[in-house]
Order: sequence, then structure tokens, then C-alpha cells
Amino acid sequence: MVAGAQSDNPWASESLAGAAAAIRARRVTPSELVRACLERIEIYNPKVECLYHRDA
Amino acid sequence: MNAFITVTREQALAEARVLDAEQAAGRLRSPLHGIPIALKDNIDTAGVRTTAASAVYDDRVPKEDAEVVRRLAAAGAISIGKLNLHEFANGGTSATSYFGPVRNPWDLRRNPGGSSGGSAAAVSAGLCYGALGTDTGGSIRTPASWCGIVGLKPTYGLVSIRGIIPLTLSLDHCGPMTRTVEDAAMMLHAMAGYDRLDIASVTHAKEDYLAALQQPVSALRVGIPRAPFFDHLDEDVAKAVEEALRVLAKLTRSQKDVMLPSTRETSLPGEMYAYHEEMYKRAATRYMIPTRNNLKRGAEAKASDYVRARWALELLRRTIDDSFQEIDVVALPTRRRSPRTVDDARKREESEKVRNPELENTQAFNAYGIPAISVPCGFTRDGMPVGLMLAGPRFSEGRLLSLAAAYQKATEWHTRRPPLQPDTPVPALAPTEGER
Repeated sequence: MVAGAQSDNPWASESLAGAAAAIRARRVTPSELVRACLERIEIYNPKVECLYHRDA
Repeated sequence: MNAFITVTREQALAEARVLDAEQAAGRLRSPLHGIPIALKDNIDTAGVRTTAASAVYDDRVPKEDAEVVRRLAAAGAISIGKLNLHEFANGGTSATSYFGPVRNPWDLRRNPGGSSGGSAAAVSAGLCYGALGTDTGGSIRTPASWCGIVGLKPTYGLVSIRGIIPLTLSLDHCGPMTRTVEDAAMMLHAMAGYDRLDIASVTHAKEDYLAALQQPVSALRVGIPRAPFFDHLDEDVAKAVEEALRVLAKLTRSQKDVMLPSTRETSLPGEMYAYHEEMYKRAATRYMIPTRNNLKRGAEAKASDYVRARWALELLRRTIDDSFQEIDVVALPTRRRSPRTVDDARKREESEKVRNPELENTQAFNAYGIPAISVPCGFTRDGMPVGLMLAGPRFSEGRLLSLAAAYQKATEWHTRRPPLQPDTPVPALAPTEGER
């Protein structure tokens, strides 16, 4: 069921509840979850597309 | 996708290290301990630029966190950044933003809905585990529906809106946007609660929304407000929603057609202008064209019209629970159509024509002030998500969450993720009037 967007990082396919359960079970740390999200932001949201400039 | 305006990388990693240490010591602040979330950029964050996606607030750095941000941080959630939106939350596509339009992760040519478009796109694409949105006329539920995620607009006043840049304060709500119903319940649990300094806030006994997920739903009576909410439905949306109603019929006690009261006399265009008056008079051209046009209309609004609309709104909110005497919830499509392309949305928004609100399903619930949740319920033939909206009387969040969770257990729509790949090409945009 899990499509391409989620397959590169195992934590990306987790729901919030799933990630919370992994924190409780100490299978993952908050830092690891933050890094997983930051990595995906770099891939899928690499730059701010600024179409309107202040001096325009 | 252009979902983020600001990514607070270093701050998030620093907070995470503190939460790592607490976890290692066996101290978890709440079920949200260490969970990365992101915030719509009209929600104030101390020391982090908060722009409302507008040139007007290009360099605005709040001194204090919004109350809801403070609550989530206390629960151990970690904000990783600020999400793009429709400028000042004043539109339903997120195509009008000073930082460029947001793209829909299911089809990058299309808009993600709005105004919380960045929130929906980020959650849908797995860039964070949950996001905050705001909803004045559908701004949580529309993008949730069009991006295939869950979006909950709570009862008016249940979640503090202090420290959130207002659109129409009498209709503004803040709520969670997540991939599952359980996730939304977890976030709402940390967000809800009275705030004396928020003039919209209401007192309500603390509820356990996670426990509510386990409540039985077999006795629930479902109302279907066919007129007018099912008029002119897109064929694929109709098919998905009718199938969802069949699933609900198996889970619940009964279904019958109902009518909800009209909200026609409750429009408050002057309220947005009240917040912007000084900035608009000083620098109207710093607003994007669609927002500027709306503010112009707001400036022309008469005080007597506003007062009458406010009276009508108060009466509607006092009496709306009467519509739920023979039913417990209503079920309807969140949106009647799929999202347009970003290009089409921008062209329409810059035209002076006032839009026809007849195809709007979300706005009435802001006037009623009752809770409403959008959950994924299928796809159109061209692969765009469809949302089902469930709404109930004031403070029925627990009931809505239990039914939405039961629906999610019976279906798998919420498990589908957008077919986005690192090399998915980003289609170019046509320039608009404002850019020439």
C-alpha cells in the first residue's frame, strides 16, 4: 500500500501514533524522527519558490 | 511542493536533544513526546518569522508563541517549521501566496486546497507527522480532502486562537491535520482547553479524545443533508461518497435525509478589514491582488450590516444543536469537485469577479460553530483524493472521532500515499497579472 513517497525512509510511512509508540518503546529517538523529516524536506521541498519580490 | 516557508532546522534539532535525554531517563511528557510537527505560518512562534504568506509581514518576528504552540511544546511535540498558506488564510487554494503557490503532492500541476495548503501537502507527503491548520470557511477540511489526509475543525472556542493572525475572528478555528483519525485525536488532546485571554475561547470540561476513539458507534443515527450539499456533485466524488455512506450504514444504526439551517445572513466581510485597516491604508499594494480586492470589499461594509449578521450568527450557534435531535451526526462530501490547476486558480483569483459560493460545503460549519472532520473516502479516476465530512452538535468531537476511526478501520483509503518521487518533474507556472 505504501507508495514511492514513503519508501525511501522507513519512518516516513509511520503515522503519528506509530512514531509515538516507537518513542515509548525506545525503538527511535526524537532526534532520529526530526532528522528523518528534515531529510525528506530537503528532497521534496528543496527551495522556497519566491515569485513575488519585495521591490517588484 | 513549496509546502514550507521556513524550516527551523537547528532549533528543532536542539529541542530534540533535550527530549532525547528525557526519553533516555524514562520521562515522557505526553504521547506527543518527540513528535515532529509543523505549523501553518499564520500561527505565531516566538523568535521565528511568521508571515501569513504575505509581503506585508515579510519580516514579522513575534515575541510570543501562540497559546496552541505553547501547549504542543509543553506536550513534547517538536515544531520543524512554518507552512505555506493562502495569503492571510483568505482563500481556498493556497495558489495566492507571496512565497509562491503550494502544489498538490498527488498532482503537482494542481492546487492542494487552502488555505492550509502547505499543512496538507506536508502531512500527505510525509514531511511531518502532523500539522496545525486554521479554518474560517473550510481552510482545514478542504486541503485535507484534496490531499488525502484527515483534518479536524473543532467546536468554536474549544482550541485557543490567541496568537493566530485572525481572518474573521468570529469564524476562526484552529485544528489538527494528520494522516489518521487516531493521530488527530492525539493532537487535539494536547491542543484543547480554555484560554482566558482569547475572546473566542469557551469553557468546556476536559475530555479524553483517545478514549473516545474506542466508543461504540453502532447506535449512531446518521443524517444526510442532500440539499444543497449534494447538488452538482462531480460524478467520481458522488461515487466515492455514496460508497462511503454504504460503509457507514453497516457501522451505524440508521440513515435519513435531513436539512440544516441556512447561513445566508451571517457574512462578516468587515471583520477582516478591522484587523487590516491600518496596514491596508498605509500600503495596500503590498497585499496580493486577490487579498487587496477582498479588503476593498471589507472597507465598504456597513456597520449596521455587520451587527445584524453577528446577531444572526449568535442565534444560529445557540440553536444549531436542535438540528441534532433525531440524528447524531451528518455525513456529506467535504468538496463537490477536485482541485483546479494552480494556473487556473491564480487566474480566477486575480479576476475581479465575485465567486459563486453555492458549491461550498465547508463554510456553513464555521457559522454553526460545530465540529467537522474530513476523512479520505476514495479517489477520482484521475487519481485525486476525495474527502467525506462528518459533523455533529457542539462539543461532539469524541463522537466524530469514534465514527471516523470506525470508518477508517473499515476502509484503506487513508493508507494510500501520493506517487511523488525525488525526480518527479515540477511543471512551470504561467505568469499572472501581479507578476508582469
